[in-house]
Amino acid sequence: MDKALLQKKDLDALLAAIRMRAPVYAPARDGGDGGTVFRPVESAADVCLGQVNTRLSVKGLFFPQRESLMKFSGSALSEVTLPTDSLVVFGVRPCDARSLTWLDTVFGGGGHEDPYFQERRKSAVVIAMACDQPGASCFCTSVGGSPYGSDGADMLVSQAGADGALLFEAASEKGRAFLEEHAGLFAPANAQAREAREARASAAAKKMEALDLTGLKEKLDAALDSPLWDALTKTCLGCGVCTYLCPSCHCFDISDEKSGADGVRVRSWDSCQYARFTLHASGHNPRPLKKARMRQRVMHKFSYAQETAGTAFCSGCGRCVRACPVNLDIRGILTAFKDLP
Amino acid sequence: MKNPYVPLQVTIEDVVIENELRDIKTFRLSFERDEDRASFTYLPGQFAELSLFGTGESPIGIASSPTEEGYLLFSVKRTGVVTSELHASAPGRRMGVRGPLGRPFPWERLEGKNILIVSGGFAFTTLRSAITYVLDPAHRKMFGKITAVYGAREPGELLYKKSIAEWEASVDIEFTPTIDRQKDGWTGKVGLVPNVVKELEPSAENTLALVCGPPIMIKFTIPVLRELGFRDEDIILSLENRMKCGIGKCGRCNVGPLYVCNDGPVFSLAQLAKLPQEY
Amino acid sequence: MGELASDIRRIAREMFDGKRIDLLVGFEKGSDGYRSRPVFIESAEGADRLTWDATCSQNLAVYLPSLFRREPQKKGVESAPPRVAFVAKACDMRSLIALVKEKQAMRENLIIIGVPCTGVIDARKLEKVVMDRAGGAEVTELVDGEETICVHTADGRNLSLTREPLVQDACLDCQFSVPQGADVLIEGPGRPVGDNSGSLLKEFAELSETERWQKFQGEISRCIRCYACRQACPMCYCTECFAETNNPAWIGVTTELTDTMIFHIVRIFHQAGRCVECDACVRACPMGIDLRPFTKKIAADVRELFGFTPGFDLETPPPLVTFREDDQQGFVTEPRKG
Repeated sequence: MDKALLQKKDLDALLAAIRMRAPVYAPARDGGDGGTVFRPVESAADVCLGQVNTRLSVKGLFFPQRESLMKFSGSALSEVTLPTDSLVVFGVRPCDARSLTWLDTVFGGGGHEDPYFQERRKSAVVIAMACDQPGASCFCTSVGGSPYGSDGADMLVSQAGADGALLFEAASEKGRAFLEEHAGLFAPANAQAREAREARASAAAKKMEALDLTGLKEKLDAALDSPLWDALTKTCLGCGVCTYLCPSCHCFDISDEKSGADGVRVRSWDSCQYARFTLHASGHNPRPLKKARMRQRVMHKFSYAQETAGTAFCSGCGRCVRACPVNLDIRGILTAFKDLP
Repeated sequence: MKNPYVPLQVTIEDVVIENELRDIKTFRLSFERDEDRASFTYLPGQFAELSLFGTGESPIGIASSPTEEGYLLFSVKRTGVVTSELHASAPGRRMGVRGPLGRPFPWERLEGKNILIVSGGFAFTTLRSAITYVLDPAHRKMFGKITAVYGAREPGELLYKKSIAEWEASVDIEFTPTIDRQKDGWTGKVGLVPNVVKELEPSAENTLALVCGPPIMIKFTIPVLRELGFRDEDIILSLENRMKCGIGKCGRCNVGPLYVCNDGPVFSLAQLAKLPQEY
Repeated sequence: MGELASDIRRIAREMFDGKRIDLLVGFEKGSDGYRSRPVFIESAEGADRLTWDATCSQNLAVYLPSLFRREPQKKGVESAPPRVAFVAKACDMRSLIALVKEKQAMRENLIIIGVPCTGVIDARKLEKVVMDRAGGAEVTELVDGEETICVHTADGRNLSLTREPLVQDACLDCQFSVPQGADVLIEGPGRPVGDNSGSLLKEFAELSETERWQKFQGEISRCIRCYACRQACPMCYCTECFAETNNPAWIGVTTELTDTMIFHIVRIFHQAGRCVECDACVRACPMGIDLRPFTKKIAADVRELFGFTPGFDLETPPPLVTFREDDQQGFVTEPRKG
């Protein structure tokens, strides 16, 4: 079945049914200031959907901050540590889900497949949660997204009514199979529910001002040497928060850690915003200046990705805007370049 | 699914110190497993990540030619953590090789053409692979005239001295080694590489130029080649950049939309002219 | 509040017109109606962008080291270092003075425009209140007042919020709210002195060693090694941080817990006698990690052991470069016998 209604009281039962086969990750309380992160949850009471978005995007479940690639002993490989867990992720905002499709092109393309990412992706079920109350720094509609989008998700869930009923809509074969499997907990969704959903979706989209970014790539490509790059990035601290929180940033480092003869080769998140990111062992640094590093971030997302993957790598989740310690706003940067003559 | 992060096991068979400063060594590596050796098919211009478990990896151009069967050669300059550890390694040490990675020199385009090789210093390694490849009797007829200029600061810093002597004596290649300033005992050319190229006046007709060297050499060689009539599409360069994954995923080595590891390291000057000069 | 902003703008214009400065570091309006951001002003015309209110939370001293760090100069033709004006709250000024003592800039190249502060607003607390009271509606304007803050939303609401509950935790403990000795001190009210031996420190000091370690581990285990704390801190200006060297590699670069804990322990200990407790690190952390028990503990220990607090005067040398015969020696232990 394609669409179905779940009563709020039955969410516990659904989670319990899923958990018999796979852990369920959902936004859960983290720290004292009301933030949330994706964590394994045991019941509906643990799930916290009231925040605009989680602190960290869903990418960390497929591309972990720290991930063991292989173990070694002395000079020899002792074990390749591929992930074996399958998981169900619930409550993923459409902006995060959409970014997963872009990470798919990165980790699955270029003539080399990344088995660590692919293993997690192929066995996971991604359940997106529609956004009825976008935050101040959200701008998904400016970059081709929607608060009710289902790209990258197997299902889209939205609040169907004041009583807390949830409308589940399948967005893939996996989603349809999921609804079939748990059909006992669901009720069919009628035409009313569908209409109401359309109304909610357009109301949510209207809450955001959509920037007009047509022609942005061409403007950026022509402005590599523009003094705007320096002017707009002078206050950047070079801290890496934007890239770490971004659902589609994917730069990583590979390092070896050992104790005695045994050790592990791990990959961990890295950031093009760090001064040493491109530093050669010889001491030469192709991007010695901050403006070049921020230019790289903007160009990668809004020009290079367009060329190599056919889409900009920004879902408008707004985390970079909200979390930047000096409130550098990528929307301002994009508009400044778009408005160049 | 082949795991592109797992290195193939090799053993160091031999280590040769290439230069007087003793900071460039050539390592001869052999695969421990037959199937690995069979699967490692490469062309000159490609590179591999040399892996030392517990220390890390380093991307190094392949110096051997695929026509040299049964082993791989890598010439490595001691610069950082991994290369220092490698330099401290003796024959018998087991290590890893991940590759072949990157795109080679444009062999389909090079077929039927004259080849001008311009190189300086340590960047010459993959050109040893290219020269050995084209001079192989099975391949020589596929190419026209082969001219090479290879310079170093001093005679002691030239790599592959034995091979240079063979190439100088060979009728199949016009090979001109040069050094920056006259030194006692050197009877060959003296002069900076771009000047020597200018002096030799190689024809640009039906010729592709392979240029590998330090940025300063490239900077002054390009105007010379352009003046000789070489078009930007016919000037082929090989870039270096800091790398980690080597397979176009970790985001570190890009120049514009192109990854040096996966779309390069070989690029034409025409391609590079359109990209930010971030390399 | 608006007067402080217009005073700052006037002073900035005068300084540029009088050619007294090359650059001014201050605040301008930020995103989404309720934030401010640092701004570099390079001419009198730019002065109109300057603003001042309770959302001006960043410690602008963080920019000083990079503004004065220069490439090696050719002898005889050295260019003069820039003359920079900083709009500085008291905590910002204390960081500026600490940096001058560490030779990151010469005092004569700085013009400190001191602004008295009644406490800055915690953006996260504000977001939560707006979410609760206005369903997360977009803030179009924030008007700061003495006791209340007025928040205007995009859907036409005007929320009147009591100021004090929204003030940042760091400001509740504030010991210095007026930047004494600033080159230009703007008139205005400063926050009354808080109690710095407050509940946070007391609670932490009462924990046993094991409990302290657990608390530290619990907070730090959420760290994602983004280095925002380090980059936001004015006193962290090493061009090569110990956490990132690979030769030798003191610690790993991942979120391996031991490595992460060592990073924070070393960074915080490196702040001894230098940290002004401005909480830039806490504000910058995207994970909301509460570093305050640890940063404040170090600062309290330095007060207790060496009688030193980083302040406004240039004369008192920092404790780590001072030797006094009556320095505490309680950490010196007898070698074990037998």
